[in-house]
This record gives sequence, structure tokens and C-alpha cells, in this order.
Amino acid sequence: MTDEIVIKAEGLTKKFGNFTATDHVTFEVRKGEIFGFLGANGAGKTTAMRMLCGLSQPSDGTATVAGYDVATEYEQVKRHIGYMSQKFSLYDDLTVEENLVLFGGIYSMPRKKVRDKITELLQELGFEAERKTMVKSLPLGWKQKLAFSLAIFHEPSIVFLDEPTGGVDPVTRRQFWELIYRAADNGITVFVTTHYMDEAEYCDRVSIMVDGRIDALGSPAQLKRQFHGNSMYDVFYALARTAKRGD
Amino acid sequence: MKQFLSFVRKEFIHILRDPRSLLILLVMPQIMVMLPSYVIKNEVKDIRVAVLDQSRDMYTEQLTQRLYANDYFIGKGEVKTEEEAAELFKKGEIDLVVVFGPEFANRIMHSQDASIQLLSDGSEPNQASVRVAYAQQVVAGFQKELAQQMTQAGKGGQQFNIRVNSRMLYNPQQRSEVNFVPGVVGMVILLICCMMTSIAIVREREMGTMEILLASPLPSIDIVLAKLVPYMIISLIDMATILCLSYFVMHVPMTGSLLVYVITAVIYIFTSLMLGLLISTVVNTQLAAMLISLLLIVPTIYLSGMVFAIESMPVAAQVVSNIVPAKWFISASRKIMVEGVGIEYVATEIRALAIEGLVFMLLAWRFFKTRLA
Repeated sequence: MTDEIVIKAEGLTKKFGNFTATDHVTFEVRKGEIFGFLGANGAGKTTAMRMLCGLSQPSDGTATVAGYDVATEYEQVKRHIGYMSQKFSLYDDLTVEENLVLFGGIYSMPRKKVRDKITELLQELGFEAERKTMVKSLPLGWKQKLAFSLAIFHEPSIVFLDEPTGGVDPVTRRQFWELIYRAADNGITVFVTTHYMDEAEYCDRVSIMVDGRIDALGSPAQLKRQFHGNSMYDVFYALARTAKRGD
Repeated sequence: MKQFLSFVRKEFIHILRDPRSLLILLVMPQIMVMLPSYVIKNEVKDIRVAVLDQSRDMYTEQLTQRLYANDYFIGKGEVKTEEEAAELFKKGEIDLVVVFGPEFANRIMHSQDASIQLLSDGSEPNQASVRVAYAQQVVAGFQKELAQQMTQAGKGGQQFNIRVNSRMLYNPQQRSEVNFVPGVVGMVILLICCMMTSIAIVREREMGTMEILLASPLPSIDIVLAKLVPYMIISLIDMATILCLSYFVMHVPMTGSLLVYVITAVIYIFTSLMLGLLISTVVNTQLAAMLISLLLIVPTIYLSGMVFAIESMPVAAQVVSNIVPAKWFISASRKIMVEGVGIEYVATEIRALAIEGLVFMLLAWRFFKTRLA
């Protein structure tokens, strides 16, 4: 981890009519960091993340991702990030290889590089035998690992993960986090939203959103001290109780 | 461009791997056009036949009697002129006219060039060809019997050779393949471009893959275009196969220029694709996309002139029919295929289709942008 700032949000705000989904949030993420983005349903996590990915225009405030302004240079932002959404997001009727080739094409990677990377990646994941397997016949845990690998296939500097481990068992989740660590070791910054408090413990730093604002920000150890809790669950519960918004 | 092509390729894989899509896209259209004429074909019986007899001799008398006695035919008496025959065709009172040439008996015995002409109602080309074939069988049977009679009478060895040719008279008043084919093409293009395209786009949104695509450097216009291209190509393939089937198998004429027809069809495909795109921007599920598309089918069947003539509709329905894109396409294709007019006579239709397509496109673009914001 270095001191280089790769995500910088200042007063980032998104309004839908009278409703302020994300309310002047300010934070910085350093290169190679695993940054956890926590909050109850409807706290504004996904809205904030969509703005950072260039999928949605901020109503107020600014943010830069990989040095590019999300409001004006979103094409450049998209080129430098990877994204994995909460919905499982590979093409079911394409094989493992075809999915990877497709995304290599979408990110304009040279053909030879795509071929080499596929072999390397399948080896790493132990998926060599599944190269020609239709994605729909893979178990969910495998699909999620593959979706993550796809999100970082084009070697982005930052990867955004929106609740990536929904619906899988703890063992598979642990394996998934090993992939995340490996990516972070390779210098990829990881920005991840989650509902699981054990996952929050795995992050370098965590921010907790309540009603569209960031109410807490720091390393898991700092936050536990600050809110006098034994676990991230206590910290989260203490903050989430103050929420006025429902689901 | 490479990005775009890898996306188009993926779109084709989706289609080719889904047997149901394939069936709807590449089998159903051809069945839709063949089925009605197949059903009609099996019904050929009770052929109403009239006779135009220019020689009035023993043999024409005998042949007429044979024809009337045949189970497949119903005698409708005599006509004096070809004009009278045409009039009866128009009224839909007869299906076939047998025309005996002059000096039939004399020629049959001596010069062997006796001729019979069969006039049929060309607005139903399939049935017409079956009717003509039945009549030819009767004539052939008559010839054979005549030869046997001669042999028995001790004048053996004589061959009879009655020349039978047939001609179709066009009858604009009746439903027919000629009127049917443009309607089917209009319907098929609407189904493919509107329903299949909107479903394909909404599927990406439903599956969550749309988010991934939008977060990629692929410009959103490319995503949309890449989804449209395969369906455009498939529509063109269907149009080509339907035209071949109707021309070679069902004998529907292509009186006008094929190029003008293709230009009109391409514009209609554009309009339908934009309508499909518009639908995809206002619904969230594949099911909703399908239901809306099916809702569009109903006015298309009733108001496009495919089944019911627009001229005989109440004024209100006529006005509403103007917003049905298929109406313009069907009207233009009938003009081109049947009347054989040039492009200047279908300018109104082309203009209407283009304007509708542009309006759909602008609306779709607006909704698409709003969704992203």
C-alpha cells in the first residue's frame, strides 16, 4: 500500500427529486487498499458506488477515480476500473472461455494477451477443465470467483465490488476473499460493499453509511475502539440504530 | 470496431444456442407464410367450371359432359366471351373456364392441333394450379378413351394430341397469397425486430449484465447497436426466404423492382427495431417486453390491412391505422409486388415509416438517458 490516492470524493451527493440518496460524502482511498463500504439497505451505498463508476452523474460535489473526474471524464474512469454487480453477472449461455474472450474484446485487449491470460487465470483458479463449460452449469461459488476474475481481467487499477458474496457459504466466501487479497497484493485497489460483518473485518479500512452520510470511517480496530465494541457487528449495530430511513 | 464485433458475435451465440429463439426467428416465419396456402390447397374440390365453346361439335359436347360428371367439378354453364368469364371471376362465381378453340372436332381428327385453354382465378395461384391439373386429367382421360374407341372401330394407331394451355386471370377482389405474403412479411419483421429485440435488451438488464456493460468503456450507443445488428440480419434472411418461397413455390409475382422492395423493407426494419428499442427502455422484465409486443400485434393484424381492407373501415379506425407501421409497409409492398409501381408511388409510405422510426428512436434515446442519470 502506498500513499497515492486513487479515489477521492468530496461532498459527493445524489438527489432523486426530494430524496437525497447520497448526502455530501467525503473520503479518500489509497492505492492497493481494501476499502469496505458498509451500510444498511437503502443507506446509499450502491448510489455512491454507481457515481464512482461513472454510471450515474453526481447532483453535487466531485469525485475523482484513478485521477479522472467521474462527472466529466467518465469514459476514462470506465477504462481504468473493473466492476462486479450484486446480481451475478456473467453470460449463462456462454462458456467460461467465451465470457473471458468477450470481455477481453470489450476492453480492447490484444488477442494474444487474452489467450495467455485465460490460460494463466484458469490455472490459478483450478478451472482448466471448465474452459469449455457453459457458465450456467457451474456452482454459484465458482461463478462468483469467475465474475471477480472477469472484473479484474483487463488489469484495472481499481475494482468495485457491489455485495459480491451474496448467497454463498462461509467457506466459499473465505476463498473469494483470498482472491481479493491476491488482487490487492498485485496493486489493485478494492472497493467493496458488503452486508457481512466478518467481511468488514477483512478490510484495511471501513466506512459506514447511515441515511446517505458516512458516519464512521477508519480501520476495523479504530472503529471498534471508537464505538466501544468487540466486533464490527457491534459497531455497525450502534450506528445503524440511529438510522431514520427504512428499507 | 473490434469491441463492437466481439459484442455482435456474442449476441449471435445467444441466439444460436437457444432453440426456442431459433425456432421463432428462422422457422416460424416460413411456416407462417406456407401454412395458409397449404391449408387452402387441401380444400380444392367443387371446382366451379364454365365452358366457352367456339366450335360446338360432338367432341366438345362430350368433353363438357365428362367434366360436369366428374366429382371434382360443378358445371356452371356456358359463357359467350372471355369478358363475360372475367366478369364471373370478379364476382367470385366461377373458378375455372374451359375454352375450346374453333373447329375442335375437325382438328382433333385431322390436323392433331386441337387446343384447349384453361382460364383460372389467379388470385389464388395455388388452388388455381391444382384446378388446372384436375381439368388436364379429365382431358387426358378423354383422349385415351377416344383412342380406344378408334381402335375398336378398326381405325387403330391414331394418336390424339390436344394441346392444353392455361392462363391465370388476376382477381383483385379476393383474399389470396398475393395479398397475404406482404402481410406475413410485415408481421414477421415486427415480431422479430420488436419482440425479440426488446426481450434481448431487457434480458441484459434482468440478468444484471447490463450494469457490467455500462461500467465498461463500451459506449452505450455501441451496446444498443450491437444488440440490434443480429436481429436486423435475421429479419433480412427471413424476408429473403419468404420472398423466395412465395415466388418459386406459391407463384406470387414480383411485378415491381426488387430493389425498391428491399429499400422499403429495410426502412420498415429500422422502424420496427426502434419500436423494440423503445419498448425495452420502458419495461424492466422480459415478460413485460413480450406482453407489450404482443399487444402491438393485435392492432397490426386488424388495422394494417393485412386481413381487413382499410378502405372499408370506419373513419376512426382508418385514422388510427396510420400510426400502425405495418400498414405502410404492407401497402407499399402490395403496390410494388402486385401493381409493379416505381419508388415515386410509394414515397408516402416510405416517408411515414421513416418519420415513425425517427420518432421512436428519439423517444428511446430520451428514456435511455433518463434511466442512466
